[in-house]
Amino acid sequence: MHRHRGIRRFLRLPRSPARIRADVDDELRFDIEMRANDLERQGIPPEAAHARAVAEFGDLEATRRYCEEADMSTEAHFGRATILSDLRSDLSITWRTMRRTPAFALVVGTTLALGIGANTTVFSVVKRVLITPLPYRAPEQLYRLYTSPSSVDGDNDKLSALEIVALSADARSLAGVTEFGNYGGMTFTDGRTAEPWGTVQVGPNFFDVIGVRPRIGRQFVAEDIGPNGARVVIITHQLWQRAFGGDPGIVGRRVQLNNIEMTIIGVMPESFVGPTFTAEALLPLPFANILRSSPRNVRSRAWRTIVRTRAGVSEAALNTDLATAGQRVRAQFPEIKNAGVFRPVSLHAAMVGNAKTVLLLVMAGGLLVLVITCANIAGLFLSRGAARRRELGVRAALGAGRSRLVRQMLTESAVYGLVGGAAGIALAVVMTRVFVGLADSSLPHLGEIRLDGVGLAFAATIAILCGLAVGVAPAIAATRVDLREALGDGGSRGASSGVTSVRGRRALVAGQLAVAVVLLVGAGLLVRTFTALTRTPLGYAVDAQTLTFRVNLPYARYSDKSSSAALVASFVERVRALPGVRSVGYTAVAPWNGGMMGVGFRVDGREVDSSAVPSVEYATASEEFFQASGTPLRAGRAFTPNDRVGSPIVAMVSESVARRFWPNGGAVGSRIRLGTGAPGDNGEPLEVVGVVGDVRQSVMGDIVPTVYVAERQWAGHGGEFVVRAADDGAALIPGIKSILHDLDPQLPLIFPRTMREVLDATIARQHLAMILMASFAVLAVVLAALGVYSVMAYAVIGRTREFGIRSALGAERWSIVRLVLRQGAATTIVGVGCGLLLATLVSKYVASLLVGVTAHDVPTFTLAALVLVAVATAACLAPARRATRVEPVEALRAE
Amino acid sequence: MTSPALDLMPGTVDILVLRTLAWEAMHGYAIAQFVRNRTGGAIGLESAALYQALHRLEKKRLVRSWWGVSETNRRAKFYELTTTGRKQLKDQSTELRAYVAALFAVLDAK
Repeated sequence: MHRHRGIRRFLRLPRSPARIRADVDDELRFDIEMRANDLERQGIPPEAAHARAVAEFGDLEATRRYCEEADMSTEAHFGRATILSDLRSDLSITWRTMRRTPAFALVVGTTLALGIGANTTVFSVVKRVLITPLPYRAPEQLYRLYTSPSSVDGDNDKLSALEIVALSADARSLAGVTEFGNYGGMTFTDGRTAEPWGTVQVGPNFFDVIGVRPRIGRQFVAEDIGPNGARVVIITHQLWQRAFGGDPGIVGRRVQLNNIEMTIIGVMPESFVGPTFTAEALLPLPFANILRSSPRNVRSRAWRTIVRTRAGVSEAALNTDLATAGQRVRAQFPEIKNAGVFRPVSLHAAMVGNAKTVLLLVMAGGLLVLVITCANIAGLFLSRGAARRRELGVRAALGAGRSRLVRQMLTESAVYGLVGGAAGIALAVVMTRVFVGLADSSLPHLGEIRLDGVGLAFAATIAILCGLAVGVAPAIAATRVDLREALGDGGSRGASSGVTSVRGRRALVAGQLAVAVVLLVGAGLLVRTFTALTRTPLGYAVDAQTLTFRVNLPYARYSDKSSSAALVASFVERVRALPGVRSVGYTAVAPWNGGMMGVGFRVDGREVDSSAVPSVEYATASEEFFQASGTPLRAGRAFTPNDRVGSPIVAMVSESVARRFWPNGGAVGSRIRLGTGAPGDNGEPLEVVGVVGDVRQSVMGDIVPTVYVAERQWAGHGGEFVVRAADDGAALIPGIKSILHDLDPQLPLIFPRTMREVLDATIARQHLAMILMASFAVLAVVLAALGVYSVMAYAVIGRTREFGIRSALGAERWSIVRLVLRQGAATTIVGVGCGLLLATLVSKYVASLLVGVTAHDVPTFTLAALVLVAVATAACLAPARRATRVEPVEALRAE
Repeated sequence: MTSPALDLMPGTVDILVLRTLAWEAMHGYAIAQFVRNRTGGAIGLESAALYQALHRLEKKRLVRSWWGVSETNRRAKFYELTTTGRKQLKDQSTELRAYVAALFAVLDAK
């Protein structure tokens, strides 16, 4: 009855005429009964008293009608006016409450602001990366092709020119096929400076397939490619601004790239991002020339491929079509290993990769923390509401309708929600910048990330939800204020008074514990992954003492092998002479930069079917390369300066190669040949002189079986350098730069960084996920502990009298502690149990991020549960102690 | 209470009610008792007039009401002055005092 009316008034529904009649009737009857009671007390018999009261009243019927009419017309105006004045008074009560308890207000406001700010930030990132469509025409029709199963070399995203041609001719579901590759980077020189440009070669139809054109100038045409390649380049908007100050006359400008004169023919739009590559300048890939070149080149899986489906082709249809086309390609080119295996991955998924899982994980984590926060704040409001029971009761008795109290409570929490939301948005603006700065290397580059209208709407929504979530429970509790209890016999005793609200709070706390378990398990799994990653032996040093960088010798000026060898030799010599340098090595392809190439590997004197020649990775190495990179020599010797052009050709192999081809030992001293033995692919014999430790390209990669040849006998112009210093490797950079400038002012030192940084960059995404999840988990545990503590403390206060009586009756202290702990333990066990169950259900979603640990890792789950049980028990101890200190007399006096 | 109560002049009920509520919020019966006690029973506020006045005043937003609990623990409708009501009371009291003073000036003329 009461409740019903309370809600009506709260919702400001107009009173119905029947309701008005009943109210007027009630009011007038009350008057008559009061009067009759007075008369009875003067000794008049009840019936007579009532009759006289009615008579004295005056014209009852007329009054009734008058009042009803007046009320009807009052009711018509009621809504708007009172809602505003009530709101004003609710706001002023809120303001007074806030001022009276500034610490409470500050804690609640700050917590909400942080929660809302963090979640809005993550949302902005999620929106940009996962929701906003890619900046290409009809991006849902675009796919990257991968080969699957992954080929021996671990490269599973490249196709050969033959396959690409066959595919574009054969697959009917495709509207276009384009390819790109060769992102070596080139050196831009203009007489004053030498600067590395990130470059990529793209097929001439690249722009048509992705559906983006240069903003100014034109795209590539087949005629751009001459017999010796192309001399045109298209640059990005960013490079145009950086290197040319946005010069409007850029098109047609001639520039020196690797000392070759090229013409800039276009500038990409600002929003352009490379589909699965990062580059500042695009050059045409002379695909037609490649098709005319050596059989080895044509078959070499070197090109990454993007396809566009015809409109309306589903992913399933594409898969089917590519499988059929693939079978024909396989039949056509049996000599290409895994030929015709095309696995399409939507371009969005290919660009986002596992960042999707990371982001969704972080977003889920953030929201869960927000949920716990709200639960905690709701708990705070509840216990404050409970502490004010008497006050609320008094106010209710004085006529503040229950609905009025409810509305006041909701106004208060809504104000917190709004203030928290506003502060949260301000925080989010800052946090988005900081986050993007921190996470730059681990986020896919899909365009600028910032807080926009959608982000603001998101922040407003969660702010309102938080306000409601925080306020609803205390508001409901307020409707349950029982006047008799609050004012009469039970007001302050509380033994029974708070039962419902304690039960509600315990449910909240159990929920918090459950969420904390989930977050802790997630963080634990990521920490174990990260540890596993950092402990994965890479086969080379990943410390801050080892520095790596690249030097590209442009072919135009260093086409002569001896001139390049001479430059590299004097460079190495001078760098080694720098103080603090231990060793200097170089190679054409460093394992940590990827880009190694498979090569056929045959042991001399063993018969191998030419169509099944095993393949290993191929790299060059200078004498000190392994010493500098920290790869251990297992057998034989390293290269020496005597391994030069003219002396017997030598090679070194990695341990896994030695094991595979010489299972019984004897690699050192054996003779091998590289290449498949096919015409044009049959190398000279080499002698294996040493065996070195295995290496991986990255912590997530497999071991790469590798054959190394001597730099001096092959390439001669280096590429990747490794400098091992006694101390901080990065401190050497200026010295090395000036040496290089001294030797050739047109050569830039490209991308110098320590090996520690190389490692950090490869695990940045896992690192970010781990750090964020760990922070969320710590927050969740702290919040849950606070929740346990406050609910237990509140329960103990409620049972003060009981404890007093118990100890008066001679209960041991320990038995009282046990009583409190048991109560806490029930909540904890339910919460932690639910949490473990929940974690088991959801942990599979992070499985793709995990390395070296399964999604149902028992130790992690156990530890998470133990941590929370321990923390929750600890949080119960202080209230339990307080319970033992209840003085019997005091507890009874408190009545 | 035995002596017959004076008849009230029109408009006086409203100002009496307002003045009583200026004291504190109360329900209708308490208002009537208050007036009766204050005037030693000289002014008997007829209930019919009182409740009509209360509802009239509420319609004019000079008072507002809510349902509360009476001293006898019964549901009762309480009234209190609004800000407008308080101002109205002040203005009307001034007018009434002036009026009564003028009236006495005539009645007491010698």
